[in-house]
Amino acid sequence: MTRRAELTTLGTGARALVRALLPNIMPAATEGGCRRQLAEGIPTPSLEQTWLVLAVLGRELPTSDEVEAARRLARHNGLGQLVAQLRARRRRPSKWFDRPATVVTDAVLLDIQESATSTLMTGVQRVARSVALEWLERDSVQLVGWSTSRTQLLRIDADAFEARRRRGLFRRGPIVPWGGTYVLAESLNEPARASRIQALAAYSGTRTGMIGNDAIPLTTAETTGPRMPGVFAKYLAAASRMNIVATISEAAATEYRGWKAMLSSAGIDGPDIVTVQLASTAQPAEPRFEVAARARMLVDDLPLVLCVGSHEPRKNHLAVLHAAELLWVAGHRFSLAFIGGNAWNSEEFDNEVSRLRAAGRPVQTISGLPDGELWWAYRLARLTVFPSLNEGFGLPVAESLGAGTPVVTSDFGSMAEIAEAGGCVLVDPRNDEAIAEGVRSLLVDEELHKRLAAEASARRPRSWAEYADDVWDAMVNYDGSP
Amino acid sequence: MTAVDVAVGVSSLHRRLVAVAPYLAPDLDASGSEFSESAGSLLAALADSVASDPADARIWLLATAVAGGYPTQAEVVAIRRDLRTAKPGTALAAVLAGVARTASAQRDDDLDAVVIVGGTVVDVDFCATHVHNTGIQRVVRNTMPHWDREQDPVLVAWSRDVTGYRDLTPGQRDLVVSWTSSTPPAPDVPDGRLLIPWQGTIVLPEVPSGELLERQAALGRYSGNRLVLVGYDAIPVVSADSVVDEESDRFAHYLEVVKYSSLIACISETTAEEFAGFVSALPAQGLTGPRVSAVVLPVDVASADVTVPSADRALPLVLMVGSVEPRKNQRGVLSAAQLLWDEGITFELLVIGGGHSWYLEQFDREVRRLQREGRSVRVGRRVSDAVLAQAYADARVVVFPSLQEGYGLPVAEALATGTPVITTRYGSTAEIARDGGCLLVDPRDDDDIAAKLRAVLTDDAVHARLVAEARARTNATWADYAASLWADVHEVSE
Repeated sequence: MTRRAELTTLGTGARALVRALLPNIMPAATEGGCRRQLAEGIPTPSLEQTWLVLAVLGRELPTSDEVEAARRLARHNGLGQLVAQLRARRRRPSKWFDRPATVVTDAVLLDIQESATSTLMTGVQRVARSVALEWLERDSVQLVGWSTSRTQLLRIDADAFEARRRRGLFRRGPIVPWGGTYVLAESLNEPARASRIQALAAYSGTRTGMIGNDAIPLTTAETTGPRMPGVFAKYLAAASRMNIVATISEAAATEYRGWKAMLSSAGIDGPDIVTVQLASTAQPAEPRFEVAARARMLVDDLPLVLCVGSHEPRKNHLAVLHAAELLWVAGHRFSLAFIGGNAWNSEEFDNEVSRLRAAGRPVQTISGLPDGELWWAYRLARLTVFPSLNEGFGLPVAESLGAGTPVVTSDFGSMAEIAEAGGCVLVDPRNDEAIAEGVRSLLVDEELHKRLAAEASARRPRSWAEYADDVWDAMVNYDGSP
Repeated sequence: MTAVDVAVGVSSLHRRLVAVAPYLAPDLDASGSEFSESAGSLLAALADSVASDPADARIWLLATAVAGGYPTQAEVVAIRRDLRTAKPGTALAAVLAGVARTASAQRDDDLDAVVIVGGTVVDVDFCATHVHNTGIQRVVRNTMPHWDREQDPVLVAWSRDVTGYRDLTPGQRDLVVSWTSSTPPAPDVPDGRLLIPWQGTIVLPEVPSGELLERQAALGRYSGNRLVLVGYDAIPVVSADSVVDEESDRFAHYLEVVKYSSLIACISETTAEEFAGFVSALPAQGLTGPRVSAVVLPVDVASADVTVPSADRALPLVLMVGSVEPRKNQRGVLSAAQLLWDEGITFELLVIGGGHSWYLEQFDREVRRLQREGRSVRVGRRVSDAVLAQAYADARVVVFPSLQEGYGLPVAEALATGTPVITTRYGSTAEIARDGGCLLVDPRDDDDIAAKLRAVLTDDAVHARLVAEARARTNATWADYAASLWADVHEVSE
């Protein structure tokens, strides 16, 4: 494979700084000489110049606070003193991993820290991984992640990433972007990284962008777990300094545009918000999973109503249970299956499921279902119900439609967007009776069911390659016009 | 619970049900002999009435009377669902089971209730129970005396168990409508009756803290009352990098209350833009959110103390007022001052304001270093209103290059005193500056702050022009603001 082509760099240490900041001067032969050239050539550095000096000589990407404090030091006492301080800090015994920082000028860096190191596979990580695998086909792409201390940007080995190999995943020696493009493919749940990415976006002269999945911890905080909004706010602070946020739906763009409109109060322009609709591909139902799926999912000859997603309040599963109960009470016959794990605050959901089961209602909850059986479950279901209160995309809606199974989903946001191409009954998710009526119509109205199933099967899938190409156009080929 | 407690509990439940009955079932003779024996039969009748017409506000009202406190959103929804599947005669059980959480949180076993129909209920909980007096409290304490004199608001605070509104005690009232910085803390007296707002307006001129938000959101969403907020700023979201996570967290949950309010009246155009931005994100979740308006704070003095500049100051005074925190940018001011001192310009810098210890320590260390170098810099903590007013009068210039403000009271208070101001070139401070008396700076540029400070300190013509501008302003007063806010709250066009 030819993916190991070395990046264009300015080298390391003070020599790289002279090349970057004093392009008309030939770097001196020694590091000390280069440091003197810097001190003389840049008496009062800008915030951008200060950022680079800190990142290269400090060997850690600085936070905005550190950049501002260092610039004040240099403003009052000269750059020479700042350089001397950074050097003094490094005089401890050098360790094997304490390598000099390399300045990278024109690469496309794709940050996939979580997806590269986690064994979990959330929706967000699936997106990041898919984009990474597609982008690796391009020459200038370098996957990156973070050091254990979360202060250094490290190169990720493409082959190790593809093979999901932990060993040799990170290559040694921090890199410092100065120009080029940096793309954050995931949400950030580590404030320590957020503050450094914020400074990188603000000061490195690198074009920066991220994939915007949703802004739910800000706009729907009541449905998120403890402490999530606070952490998410730090992530938004980093995003506010970026050039581009590519949202996975128009609904997510609506959220990010609303947030961006808030920023002018702090004198910040905020990023451009562009929508790059997420991929939605039909997953193949492999024959070997069929028997197990049928045995697990189906109850006698009852039509199956499927509900996929973790039992967090936002997914509105209590309303689904209540709507189902109204229909059972009215004499309709069907079984109901929830596929998804427990989340915070799902105790009441568990109680309701137990109560209904004790009353003889055919309802079950399944967690940890293998993907192979999940794709069969969508095909075995009469319909899927997904009346979420807020979604960045609503993957189960797209997955169900990809399997040709109609969906009852919310009449707004990303769910209504996906439904535009057909196959759905739209309902107000805050109205239990409306959910019940939507489910009822697909259970009893054969004409409707047939028409929506046909619409679902006729939908054109959107591949990960198409999605990744469009993200590339938005982030890398971006010319500044929305 | 002992048998006696139960008896007392039941009889106060009975009295609360009698209080709400006219609004749930007007045809029912709740005080008549049919229901005089026990609460049970009256509760059953009211529950059946609500079950036959299960509007959210009716569920909320009955739940409030039964629990002796306002239900949460989850409780209202649970009751609504249980009423739908209830068999004839079991509606009562659905209501009782639904409010279990609030009923057990409510601690007063002998609680009466009174329904306030169509009134304006104003939640001034924090000001009524704290002597703290910065930003939001200054607004509330300068506005409520006018409302109290000229309008007919019902000022309320939360019960100690945080389940419902109560009338203010005399001591609490003093803290809100007759506040001075020497007012002693209110004496501890028992909570009174539960106040139940009905078909009226609830005004929230403060930003409620975490434990209040759950029932507050339910009040806005389900009680049938209009919930009106005063919007101060969205700093914990917009400048999240300058606050602790917990503050952003709290604010994100406050935004849920915003979501279910009818109106948010913002203290500046800038703040109105922020909340309009949030509201514009709501269609993604199928909501429309409140009307957003700007009722801009006045440029008025903080206290009535008449002050004249102190005679014979040795050095011109540069004053900075505001809590000591990164967002207010005291560091930028110290750095700019240092640049000027290095040039040989002489002045005294006074920084007034407290803050969190983690940041104060850093800041004080920096100040001590400058003092050791012979710089004329002082810090003021916990100063009285009179001392603050005197400082505004004495200052040659007030410097306030904050990175983000909802309004910028120190800018307004300085201008109302006739003192020039150097402040941030964007946002709410730029709004205040439009009417004169200010020089604008890029707060992220120490050299820019230094340049404007140099001009005001060394160029008497510049200073005189700014003073003249400040004095020529036609400023609104707190009385004007109070009247405009009341009009906007009640959607009366001015």
